[in-house]
Amino acid sequence: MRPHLLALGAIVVVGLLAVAGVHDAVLLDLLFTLLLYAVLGQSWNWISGYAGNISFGHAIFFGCGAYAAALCVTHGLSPWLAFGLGALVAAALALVTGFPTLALRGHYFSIATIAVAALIDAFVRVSPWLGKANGFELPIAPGWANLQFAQKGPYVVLALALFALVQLATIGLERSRLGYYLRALRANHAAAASVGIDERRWKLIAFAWSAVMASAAGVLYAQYNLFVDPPSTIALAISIDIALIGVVGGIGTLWGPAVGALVYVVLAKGVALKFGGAGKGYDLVIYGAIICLIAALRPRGIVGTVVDAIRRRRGATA
Amino acid sequence: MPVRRRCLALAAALAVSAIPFGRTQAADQPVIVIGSILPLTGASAQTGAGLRAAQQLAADLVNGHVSYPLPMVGKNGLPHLHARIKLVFADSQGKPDQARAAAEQLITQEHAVALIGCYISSTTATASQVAERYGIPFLNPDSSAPGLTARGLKWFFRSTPSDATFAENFYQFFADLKRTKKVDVKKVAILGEDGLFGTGASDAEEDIGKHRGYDIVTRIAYPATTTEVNAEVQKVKSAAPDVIMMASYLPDALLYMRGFKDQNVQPKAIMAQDAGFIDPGFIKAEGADAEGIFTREVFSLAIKHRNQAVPLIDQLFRQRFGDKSLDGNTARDFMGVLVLADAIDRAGSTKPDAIRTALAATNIPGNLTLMPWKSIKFDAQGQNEGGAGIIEQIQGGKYETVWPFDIATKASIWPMPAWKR
Repeated sequence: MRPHLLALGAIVVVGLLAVAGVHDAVLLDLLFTLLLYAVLGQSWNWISGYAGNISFGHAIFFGCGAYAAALCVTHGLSPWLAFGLGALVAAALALVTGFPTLALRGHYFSIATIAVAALIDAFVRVSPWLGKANGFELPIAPGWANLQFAQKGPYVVLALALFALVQLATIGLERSRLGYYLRALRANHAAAASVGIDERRWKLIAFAWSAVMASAAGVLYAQYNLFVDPPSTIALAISIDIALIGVVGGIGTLWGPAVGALVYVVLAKGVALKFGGAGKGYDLVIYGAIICLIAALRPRGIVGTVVDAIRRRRGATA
Repeated sequence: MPVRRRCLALAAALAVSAIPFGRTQAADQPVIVIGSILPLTGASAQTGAGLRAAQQLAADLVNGHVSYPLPMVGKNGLPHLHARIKLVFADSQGKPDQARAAAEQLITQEHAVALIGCYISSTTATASQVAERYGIPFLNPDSSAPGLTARGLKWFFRSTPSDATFAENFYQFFADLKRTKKVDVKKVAILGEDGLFGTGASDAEEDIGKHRGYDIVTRIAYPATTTEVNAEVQKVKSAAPDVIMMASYLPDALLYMRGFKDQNVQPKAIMAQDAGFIDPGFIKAEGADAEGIFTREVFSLAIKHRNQAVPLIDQLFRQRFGDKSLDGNTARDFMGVLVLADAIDRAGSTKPDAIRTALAATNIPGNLTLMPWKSIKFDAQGQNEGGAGIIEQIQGGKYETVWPFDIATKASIWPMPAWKR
């Protein structure tokens, strides 16, 4: 536990130093995106990694936060309220989706998440109060009260705070009853159930918390981009991006999502900025190749592989 | 005949311009960077590649020495600044957040003096906000969502007409028909797919129709991926409209056409917002049933009757872009680069404020553009107030321009012929 806290502390310090020392808008933008995706990846990791139920609809929870922010701002309310409102709606959605499906075997949960996401996408597109397909554009009005800044620094600080919070929660999860139950259920649900672990109850709790984290990231995203529409927040493509980050980094590991986000942001965003102007799509080719390699050779992801290697060495020396 | 002599001169110019544009003498000129954001990968990559080629062609012609009846072309760059322009492209991937990052990169790392782009309306929305924040002029030549110019941005200019103008054109067309042919349109049905494109177009058609006193008898939004439209067609039939307005992609356009025919829905006209209805597959699939369908367009080679540069630029573009003809998107992006070049040159400076002021004072007459526009002149919101679309009708298996009347190639057929049995 202590090395994890130290590592997190180091990341926070480095992040704050970067905010103070780096004035390159593009680098800060990548840093913000990295932290945001690390949060989304970790959120996905709670239900899909620790609990073992793969979600392909995580973008809807991200969307809850983003739309909550857009609705607050366009109705003259403070976007800070969106953290609470988005979280409530996201948790409710998670409970409604998870209740009938989380205790089922096989892929029912994954299919349900895809179906619910598609439904919500279609619903948003025809609902005038949700901006239909046009989405919302948030007016430029910088200031802490408006959760909007002309500079990148405050955004990065907020994203860093959210990331630290989510990592702390996950460190707590790994040590908590919930964490042990989830892993027991993932390893052998029948054995876990036989000792009295209520699968649906504990997984619903994990799913709801997972949704709340993704929603918080959505609020920051909306306030940062000042634009929210279905393809950029709730589309299946975003859900897949989130799941890939978790898979690439390492399912069910504490640092996996952060590493996955790093790979994703450097390749899919950074390389695209540097070389995307050529329009050849090299960035996508490289990212795709890495995903294929990991899927074929290292299904436990980058962090999972490292953890395995360390365990093996310890086993050898012991 | 001076026209013929001019044509000959232009043809000669065309031959010369196939050679790289005056590179030797321009090498030591300073370079002014314009940042361009386009969807170069992702679902719209093919369109993006065409837009990129069109913008690059325009920049090369500005830096070259061959003149055409177009602004800022053939002066070896920007004469007031003794400089060439250089386009630096960035990929939006068709995503709003990536477009925002691209804008940031072009402004802070490439030191672009102005931005142009981004085709997809949602990406234009985010990229232009970045430009606003940095105080850099942004020219949007190709996004038609009406809301873009309603945001009160100071640095945003749009040369293309918006969906509102295209919808307005339909009703202007009805008014012109009423005047010339005593045709009376009262009841309008509006159908559109439920994405950004269909929603924007249908909203504009509904708002303007109501405002002009038309009876909007039904409004239907459907998912573009639908495979079954019987209920919708039934709804249209029971509303018995004079005119059906449609914003559809190809597969759904074909579904509705079959539905109308099967259930014998016979309006006086079907007015389409291009997309599926100008896809090469449309006439092929519909055959004789395509006859009489109207569609709005932003560009037609028929504009050569107003500006002889049209076929010449078309030919240059074909040489560069796999023999594909100029279309509404590429022609608008070509003009966009010229508008920016014209403003930067008149500004006589690369200071953002000076360029913004010059852009606001832009005044390019319509016959010096490739477009059917009256002029390029920006209003207080930054919208080109001289923009206009054209209306085509499928006649004899071809798209013929029927409105505005001054560039029409054929008279319109009204009402449309009955469905072939």
